[in-house]
Amino acid sequence: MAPYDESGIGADDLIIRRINPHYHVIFDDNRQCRRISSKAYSPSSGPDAGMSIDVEQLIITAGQQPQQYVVDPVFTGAVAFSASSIRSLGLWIGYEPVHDNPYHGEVWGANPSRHNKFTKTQKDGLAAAAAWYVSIDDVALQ
Amino acid sequence: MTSSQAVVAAFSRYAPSIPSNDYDVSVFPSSRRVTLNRHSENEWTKALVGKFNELTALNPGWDGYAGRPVSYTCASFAAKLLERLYDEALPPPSLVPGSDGTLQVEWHINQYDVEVDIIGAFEVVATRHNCLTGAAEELELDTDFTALAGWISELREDRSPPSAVLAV
Repeated sequence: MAPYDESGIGADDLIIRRINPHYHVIFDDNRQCRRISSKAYSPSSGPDAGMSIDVEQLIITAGQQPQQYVVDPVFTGAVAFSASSIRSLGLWIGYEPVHDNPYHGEVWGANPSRHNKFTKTQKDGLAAAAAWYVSIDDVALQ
Repeated sequence: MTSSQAVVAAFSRYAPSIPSNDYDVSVFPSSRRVTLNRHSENEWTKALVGKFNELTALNPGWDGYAGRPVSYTCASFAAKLLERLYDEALPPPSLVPGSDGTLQVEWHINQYDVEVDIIGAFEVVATRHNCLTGAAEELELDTDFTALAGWISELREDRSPPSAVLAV
């Protein structure tokens, strides 16, 4: 799907990013903690590829419990951002339903020449805007 | 030859399209393992070979979406790069897979955050954050890793904040 910014996603809507506790978490000696790696906030590298997310409002509207939906069956963590915090970083959010997840979406770079690349500032901004949605024990957000 | 010059010499010999079986790191897809040559083993590669093999054998969807295992191209290039950057004074880095089969190599020590994103062979984006000053740098690298070798060398310097030194 070509990158776009979905007008149906409101500023206060929550955008969820699943976190794998085994592979997205590193030990940070500077901060003396385990925390989420910036790699968890990276888009895929293919043409028009973005960063996969779940749109909370779609899950709720479908009558599902979002905290359970995003960790079933294998995941034990997730973070969430407001849509406005994502857009303020120069990123777009769109729906991209897939066969096993109708609530799936993507976050893309708004820059036409860099839809599939986030700058360090954008990754850092996502890390700063993230809040636990389904927390992982003893892991810091940043 | 300095270590930085050695890195440049090692990588500038290869064209970007060179097949991965020309690296010192051998890749055997049939066994799904990344194997490092014994002559080039060091503490990093010994510590990380199991992790490389684990990441190249990740189940599809490991990230909760459509995540793929780390590609052999990225894994073998990362292993080769780490052999060249090896510094016995530094701990091995963390390895973090990307959803698209890419791989990020990270150190967070001595008040520096150095992250090396291996997007493909000879396609690398490296970032460094100085925790003391807040300064951030970003490098897009293909065959010249001199600047990255310099960052790795600077990771050795103990830059503990004054308060931490006083506390000791």
